[in-house]
Amino acid sequence: MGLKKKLGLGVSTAALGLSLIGGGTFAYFSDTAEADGTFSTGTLDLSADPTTVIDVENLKPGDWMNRSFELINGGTLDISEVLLSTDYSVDGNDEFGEHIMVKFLYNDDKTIVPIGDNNIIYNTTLEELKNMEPDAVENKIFVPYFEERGGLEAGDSDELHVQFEFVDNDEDQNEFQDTSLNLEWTFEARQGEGEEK
Amino acid sequence: MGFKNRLGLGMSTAALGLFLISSGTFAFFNDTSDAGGTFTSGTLNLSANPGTVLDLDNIKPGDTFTRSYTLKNDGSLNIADILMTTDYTVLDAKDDNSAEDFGDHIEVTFSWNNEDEDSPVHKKKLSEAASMEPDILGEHTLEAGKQDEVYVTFEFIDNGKDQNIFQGDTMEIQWTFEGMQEDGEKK
Repeated sequence: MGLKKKLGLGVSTAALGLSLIGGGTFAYFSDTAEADGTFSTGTLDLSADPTTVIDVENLKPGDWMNRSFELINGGTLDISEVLLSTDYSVDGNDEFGEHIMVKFLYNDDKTIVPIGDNNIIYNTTLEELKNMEPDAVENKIFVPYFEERGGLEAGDSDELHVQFEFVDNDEDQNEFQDTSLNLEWTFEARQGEGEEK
Repeated sequence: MGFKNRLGLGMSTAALGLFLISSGTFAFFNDTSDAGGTFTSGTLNLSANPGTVLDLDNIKPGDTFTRSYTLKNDGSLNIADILMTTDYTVLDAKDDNSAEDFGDHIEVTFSWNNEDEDSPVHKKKLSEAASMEPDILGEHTLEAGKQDEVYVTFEFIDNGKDQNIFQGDTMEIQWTFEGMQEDGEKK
């Protein structure tokens, strides 16, 4: 063969080779098989009962009130985190919220006077509670609460005990006569960490 | 597939992946539940009627006079204590009293009962009362919506000595009653 022809053949062979690399021809045996599955998610359902935790009138400085309510897990997933955000509106002097203390308790307080220090999870004014971040509140209240009583498992309910006090600060508090505070708590339940199933 | 196409597809796949990593997809389950309540405070309201207890003329040593007036609780909360402050001024007609205080010669008695057998809640000279803030309610509680009569007896004490410096004098007395709440209670 002449040189030109050999060169030409070489080039075309290279070109063919390159195109084979680029494009690719595939020839193989194959077979397919199917597999399927179902994923169903669980439900996260938190409710509070009663929803009106407290309705108290004719308060004067020094009065205190114990109330309990239930947190109910009506879903299928365990609740391991509860965040609480607080809001309130005042009909009257705005500072009323600074004079009402709320104590979250481990157990129901059956004492006649407002005491029980080792029963207190967290103690603060409604005004401070309103200004706290919900997960800061969670750390102060629900983390120790769940540590003590276990988390809120699916189908379970747990009682939350609180004590409110209109604190008598030994000063003139007459500006708070005939004042009304409307408290709103929003509990947010979150799922637990993801796990292997 | 051409080389350019493959490269392009690879790049867009990488871009999509990077986008997902940076912006973040957060998906968790949550649920919220509301609960709330109301706190309403009561009122403490004390009124005295009539405002002027007495307007006495022509008194002399030895005279006693009893007047009554009504203390009313117009609020929603019980009144446990009524603190009384006394203020008085003496108008010395002849400017002859010098250091002598007319208040030393008037004794005032408060009681919630007009019968003599009942021991009064408060019995003091006017001059002594002026520096005190006694609770004239004593053991009593003035309940919300209720009223009670308080009896005030004045005596211009005859001390057996010359009290002529007080002739023609006038005394003006002003009482301030401060109603106080009961102790805090469990509700």
